[in-house]
Amino acid sequence: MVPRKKKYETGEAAAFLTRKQAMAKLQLNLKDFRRLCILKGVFPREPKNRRRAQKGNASTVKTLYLEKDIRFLLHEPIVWKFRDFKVFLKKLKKAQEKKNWGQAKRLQSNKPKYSLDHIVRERYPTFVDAIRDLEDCLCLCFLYSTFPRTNKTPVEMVELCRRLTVEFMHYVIEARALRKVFCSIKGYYFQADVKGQTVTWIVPHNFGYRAPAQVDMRLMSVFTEFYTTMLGFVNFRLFNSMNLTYPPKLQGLQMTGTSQGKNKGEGEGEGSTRVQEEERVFALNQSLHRTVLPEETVEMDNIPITDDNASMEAARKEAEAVEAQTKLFKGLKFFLGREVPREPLVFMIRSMGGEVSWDATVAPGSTYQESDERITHHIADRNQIPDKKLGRFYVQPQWIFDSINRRSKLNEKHYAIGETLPPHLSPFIADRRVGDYVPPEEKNLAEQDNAEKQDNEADEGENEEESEEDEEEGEEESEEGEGEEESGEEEEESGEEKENEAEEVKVGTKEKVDRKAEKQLQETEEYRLREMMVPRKHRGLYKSMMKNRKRRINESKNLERKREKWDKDNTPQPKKAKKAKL
Amino acid sequence: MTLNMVAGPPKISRKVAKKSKKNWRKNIDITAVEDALEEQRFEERIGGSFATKESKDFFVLDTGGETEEGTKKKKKKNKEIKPFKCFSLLEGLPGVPDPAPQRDRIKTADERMNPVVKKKKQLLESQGFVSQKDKVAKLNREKHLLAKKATELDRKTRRRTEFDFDLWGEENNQGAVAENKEKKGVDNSWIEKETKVHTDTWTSKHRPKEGLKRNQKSKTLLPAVEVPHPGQSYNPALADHQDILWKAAMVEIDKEKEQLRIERLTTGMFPKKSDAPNEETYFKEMAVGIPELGGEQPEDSDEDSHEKEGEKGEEGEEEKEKVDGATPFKPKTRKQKRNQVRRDKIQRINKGLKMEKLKEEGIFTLKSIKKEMNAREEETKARQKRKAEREIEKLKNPAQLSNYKYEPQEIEIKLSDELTGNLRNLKPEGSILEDRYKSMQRRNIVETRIKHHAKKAKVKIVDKKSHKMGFEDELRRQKNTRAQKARSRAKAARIKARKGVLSK
Repeated sequence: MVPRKKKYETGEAAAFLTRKQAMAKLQLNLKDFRRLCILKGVFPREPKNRRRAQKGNASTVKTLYLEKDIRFLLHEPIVWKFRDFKVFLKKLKKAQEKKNWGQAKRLQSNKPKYSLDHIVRERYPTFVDAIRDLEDCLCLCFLYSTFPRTNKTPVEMVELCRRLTVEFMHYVIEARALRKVFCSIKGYYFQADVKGQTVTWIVPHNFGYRAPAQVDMRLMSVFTEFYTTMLGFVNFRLFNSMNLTYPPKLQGLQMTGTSQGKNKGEGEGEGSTRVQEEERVFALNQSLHRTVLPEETVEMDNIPITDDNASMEAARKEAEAVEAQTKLFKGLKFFLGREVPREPLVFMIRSMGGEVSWDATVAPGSTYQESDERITHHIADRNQIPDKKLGRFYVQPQWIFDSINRRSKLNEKHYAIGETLPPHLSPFIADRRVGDYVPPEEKNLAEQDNAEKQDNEADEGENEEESEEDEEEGEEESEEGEGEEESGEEEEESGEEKENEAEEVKVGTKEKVDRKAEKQLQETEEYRLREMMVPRKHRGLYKSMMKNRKRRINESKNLERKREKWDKDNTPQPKKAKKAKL
Repeated sequence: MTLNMVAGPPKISRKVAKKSKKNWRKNIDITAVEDALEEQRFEERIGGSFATKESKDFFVLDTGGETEEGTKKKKKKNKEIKPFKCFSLLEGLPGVPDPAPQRDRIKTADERMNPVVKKKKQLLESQGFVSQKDKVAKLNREKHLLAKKATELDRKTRRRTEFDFDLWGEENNQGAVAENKEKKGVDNSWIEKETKVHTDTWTSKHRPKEGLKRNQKSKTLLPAVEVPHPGQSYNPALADHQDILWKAAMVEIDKEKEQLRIERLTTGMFPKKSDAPNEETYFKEMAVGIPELGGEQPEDSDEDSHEKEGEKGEEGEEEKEKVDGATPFKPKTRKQKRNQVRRDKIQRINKGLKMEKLKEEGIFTLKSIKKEMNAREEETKARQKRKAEREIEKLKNPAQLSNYKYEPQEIEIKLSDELTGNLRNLKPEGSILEDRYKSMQRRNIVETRIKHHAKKAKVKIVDKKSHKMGFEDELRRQKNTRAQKARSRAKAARIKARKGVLSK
């Protein structure tokens, strides 16, 4: 007879193992087990039915792992290295207790080590996979690179992180990949476009290190250990893809004993982090030696891939804007005051093609003096500067952040020294929907943009009228953007018409007004027709959309009214209004 | 020596036989000799005879004054150089001279070399003639040192520090990592696949199939780096800043509510000290209804109770019956039984007929049946959809992976008066380290944990019987009461402080 199956032998109960069971199966202690799980990317799982998964006992929530995952871990050769290390520790302890210092030293120098290459390869089968998961990696590496030398953050790891992050920043600079920046109270957010993937990371403000009590540093170190290996290989591939040699030879960033010795002599804590940071900036401000200088600009193909003209047009515009952004500071020379945070600014300026330097007495790596007459922008963060030089703009650091986000050089006047700065808006918020509240500051910026564009167009005679048209069209566009897709075509048509108009205008202006009104009439008619053509299936959705839009418009109007009132109440002197805020 | 001090020949008792040498040996009194020898041994044990020692061995001239620091340092040093106890036997007893003091160590080859030969060799070396053997040895040594220096960093970090090949390159596509790259020009085509798998297992060359199939992601829909709220800018727009302030305030209010709830359900449930029952109230309660003891009379008057009693007396019997059994047992008559059977039969037949009729009529209700089925299907679909949505929503929140609930970190804000408006005076808020850690918890990469402090083992102090003086128990009792009082005082202060906070 077939023996009867007992309870909890199949199904969900058999699919999960508790942590204790998993450890027993792998014959590892907790420390090694956690390390292995982190390195291999095995995470605890939540079962669908906890009572069944915990074999009937659900009084406490246990950490469960998939049995399949644990079986997968059994194959890992690194497990043997863990066991070797355990043996090594025993030997070392014995030697130390017996005061066999010679033996202890010999053992120390031959610590068993393991390589994580194959795990990186296994977890990220393709290069793009690795880049997709780069955000965590970058955040941790940038964070660790700012750490002082403590026993929980080993020197070697910190230095490796420092090297790798500087190399990555060099890649971003060379590839002109930086897209968005944001200075928050937490740290600097950067967003770059790496091989078509959007990668965001945080860099902490340069301040003293304070370990939060809740964080398990040992765990974070294991993550960092894995991510350093990953970032190294990613860097290699990124550099190679740009015809750059890897590792780059950078002064001030040597992974040899010399710099270590020097730093150690200067003492622990604040002082050494300062030194670290300076060296990093020094390394960042050097241009790499390229084997080939690709100076060609790639022309966008004009082949329509899809029928969707509007999206094509949008993509083209976006590409142009990015192109313009990458050359934002080209040919400009910046000089940083000593009170300005050097690292992020150097990174940003160089990513946009600018040159940068600082006072040679502040930190090593300055390339030109303050007296250099070619300097176009002097960045300072104090209320006044005693001897200003002619021929250069004196701006506050926020000018750089905002310019990059707006993708154009903003008016330096608003960011001059001593001026109350306009607010630093986040570039990460999604595009506003129609009717959403737009703060007046942002409105001003948008208006400035429009105005500049018009200047560039430089069609003086009909500038104003056209701009009016533009605005109107823009509004309509955005209105229709949500519901319809035809608007794009229409826009193109209207664009052609505009050109025709321009030719015809020379003949006479009288007719023009009529045409405009006609066109508007026609458009509204078309819009109504399209509204009618909405299939019955989608009518409900359309109606709710419109209703929501109306609600948003009402809300934003309300907010605007509030703001106006507040502005009226709280601005006796327009200049100091910002500081008196609330 | 002490041995010489024994004067005269050994004495022997008169009453014993002195016939043979054996008897002499047996009965001789050698206690004096033995004593002397014992004394000698003792002296050896304690470091030699005092008689042979000079006074400088006993006394030391104290020249430097002793500072506290000095003694401390000395103590530490002594601790370090103290030899092992287990080796003390090997060192021999103090005072006992080493029986073989001239023990030779084996000389090195260099020392053993004939001085004439050595001198000649040195002369040759100074002139530049070095033997091939020495040359090779020197070279090897240098090579070794260089290699050691080159790998120093590697050995120190124990991780890869040089990234000198493309991990995702073509040559690595077959599974072997470049570290274990086969040497170029070596033909490995003769090795069969099976053999290769066999030899590669348990090395990093081997890539189990399982790894290719696995889903490497933790179950979450949250991004690794969450986009910051625009109000967290160092110089935010007014609306954004107000928005985040409002959000943070809501979180705080919720927290306070929760705190109040806990307070209400714990300390709030107990009476205050003034309202708490004591001996007096207990006595009062017990004396209710006893006027002799000064107790109050219950509110309802005596008449009512009397009336109730009277009613009870009349209806007592009926009630009793009702309480015992629901109804009094009365057997059915035969007629009743017959009727019942007949009625049942008719009912059964009618039921069958009705079912038949329903079945027949069912054909005409097809439409409604279909409608019903459709409705049910719709409902199922809607439920499935809702469930799928719920599952997706679940992926946006941290899962319960351990016994501790995930606690979101505090929203980092700057109050309006803390905003400086320039980068120079900015003081950062929050910690990115914590942010990353919490993010990992949120995305189900690591489980939520709390720090456990290792509990100290409780040590029971017991006085040795031989050292007991009699007053220890009393001393300990006093100490304990003092500690207890201090603790209760601290607790009272804590409670008072908390109440103060709450009332605010």
